[in-house]
Amino acid sequence: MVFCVCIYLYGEFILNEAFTYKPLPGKERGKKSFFAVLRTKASLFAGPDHLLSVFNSSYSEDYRRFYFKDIQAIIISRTSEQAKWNAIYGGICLALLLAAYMTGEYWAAAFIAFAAIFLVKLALNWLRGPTCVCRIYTAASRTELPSLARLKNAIKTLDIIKPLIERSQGRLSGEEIKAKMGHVTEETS
Amino acid sequence: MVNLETHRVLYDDIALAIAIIPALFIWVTIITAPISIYLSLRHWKSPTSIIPRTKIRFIIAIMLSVVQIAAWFFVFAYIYTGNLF
Repeated sequence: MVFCVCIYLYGEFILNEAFTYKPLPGKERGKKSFFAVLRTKASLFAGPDHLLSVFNSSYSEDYRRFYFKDIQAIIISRTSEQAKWNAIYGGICLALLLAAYMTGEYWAAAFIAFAAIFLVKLALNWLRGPTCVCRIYTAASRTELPSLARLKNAIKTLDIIKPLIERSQGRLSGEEIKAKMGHVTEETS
Repeated sequence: MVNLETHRVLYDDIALAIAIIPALFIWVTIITAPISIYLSLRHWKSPTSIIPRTKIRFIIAIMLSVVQIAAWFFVFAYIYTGNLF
């Protein structure tokens, strides 16, 4: 029975190897709605000719496609979310340690245990690096990619998808970029 | 062919959740175990996620549900006969 299951899963694995979507770095909570905050996960995949943004809400998935030929810009802006959450976790941790110090021996253990949970969360948040907002621009839309909420994941993803976009749209030389930028500045002034 | 689907239901996750979560409340599994098996078999060939995924969730759901049903069988056998075998 176990042998049959192993053979079946190996077959599934081989089939999936031929599949076209490759996972990209970054998996974060997608903030689709207030009640879905705790269980919605956002992730990003690279397809043959498009990016696939996936919102997984445990029992269903929503998809959004961005074709490489349609992408006009990907803008990454650094945010202060990491510092904010570090302050929140650190504050709660300190408050709990203070409470443990002020209360008796019986309650101190419970407060220290809770403080340890927040200390771990603080460490994880610190280790995951600075936060950012990544927006993808097409002619028709400007969409935030919640899966790329950490700067290092956003940069890694950009390194992966940049050649794919260039393969689809072609590559501009330095002179061409300068010429086009000059044209834009003339138009705006 | 271009796939333009924007939403899919993950029946494998539903079947697995129905097999695992009610096990915490024990008594509910008498109803949920057959439901989980039904969902797994009914949606075995239904499309799940667009991204790469195996049928491992369906397999685990069926295995857990079979174990739960077997446990209930032994419980009822013990109640009515006074011994397990």
